[in-house]
Amino acid sequence: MWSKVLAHSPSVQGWQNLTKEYWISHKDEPMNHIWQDPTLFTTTEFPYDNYVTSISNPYTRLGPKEINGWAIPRYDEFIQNAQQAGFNVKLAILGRDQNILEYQQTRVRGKYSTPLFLKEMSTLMKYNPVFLSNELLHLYGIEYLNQMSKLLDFPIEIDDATLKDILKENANKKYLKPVDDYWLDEVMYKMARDQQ
Amino acid sequence: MISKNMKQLLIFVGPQGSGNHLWSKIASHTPGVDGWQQLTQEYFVNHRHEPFNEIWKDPSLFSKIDWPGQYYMTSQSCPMGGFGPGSNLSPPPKIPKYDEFIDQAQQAGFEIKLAVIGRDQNILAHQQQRLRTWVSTTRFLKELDDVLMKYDPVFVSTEMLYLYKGRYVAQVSKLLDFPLNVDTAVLDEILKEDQNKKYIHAVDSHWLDDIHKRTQLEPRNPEYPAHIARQK
Repeated sequence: MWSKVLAHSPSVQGWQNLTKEYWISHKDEPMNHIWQDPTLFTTTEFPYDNYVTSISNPYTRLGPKEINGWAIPRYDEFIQNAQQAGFNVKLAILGRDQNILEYQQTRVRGKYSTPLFLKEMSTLMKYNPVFLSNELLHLYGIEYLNQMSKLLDFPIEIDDATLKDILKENANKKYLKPVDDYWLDEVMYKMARDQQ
Repeated sequence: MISKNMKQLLIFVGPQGSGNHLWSKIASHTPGVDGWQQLTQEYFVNHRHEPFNEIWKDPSLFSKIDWPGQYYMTSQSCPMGGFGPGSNLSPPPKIPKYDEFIDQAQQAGFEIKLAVIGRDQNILAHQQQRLRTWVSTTRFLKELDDVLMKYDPVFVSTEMLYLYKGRYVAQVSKLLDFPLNVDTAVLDEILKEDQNKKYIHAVDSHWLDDIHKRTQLEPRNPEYPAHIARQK
């Protein structure tokens, strides 16, 4: 979702095919081969000013039967090679409701993998990351994006109509159910009644 | 002109049920912050006991009170109140007087830090419908556009707090340039009951799952990434 939003920014070179297709496998992410071999940064020409790439942690190893060690991105090596190739690296750490992550990872990947990502946080924190929330993007839309663009000092120039179109499928919704009652409800009602 | 020694007032705002109590609790546990200290002792306290409650009703009180501390915190959801069956039938929703409150605080010498809380929109809708009998997020969004954005707020996420905990709190503190510093054990205790969990259930399958699995086995597109970079 975030790659799609950024790819819609005219001055950003990213995963442009995501602006035409709903979903593409991450193996076709434009910098995928560089994640495999970060030294390619030095043998590749980058004629534009702003690039975006993304990688989850862990990556690949799809399906419940294919768990055979998780692939952990080589963040340090990737970032150091990018810096040597002249890039000013901006790091954004994505987040989503932890319960939904657990359900989705278990279903699609066969294992709850968020702890593996959290283990890498100490590596990532030294790059002064900005945290980006999926829920805030859905709730506050363009105003939230503008703030993130400012914090990252990186152009995010998608127009409001396109953003709304991307967000129209509320990806969390399928995981949500109403709750009939909760123990705190009665306490709150009583306090409200006492107030009157 | 903002002086480095100005008193600071952090205001948490957000849709009803977005996490005002949770974020207030965290700020109140921070040494040196005058917040809602009662929340550090009790799990839940009615918002009418929030220390600034009377000032929200009458912001002119700012100028009649001594403020000996350096850092203060308050919170106010929008709309306010309206609990229980039939609350949608009661008089129009009460909207906080944000402009007046902030203006009076500034006149009393405060530098204002505004934090806009967010939480999953579906959970907000479910919770507001159950507790207030109508979905009030839209009313907050109107206030955000009409009134709050001009104060350059920082957006803070309740989900990110549960996921990244102290690291996220540290970033929010830095963005607000306001102390938010809770002992890890205390933060773990505050976050041990995940308030979203009761709303979330597993999904057996999704139409994209099979596409995920199939495309993973297909060869990589050899033309990538020719459109953004080229071999030297």
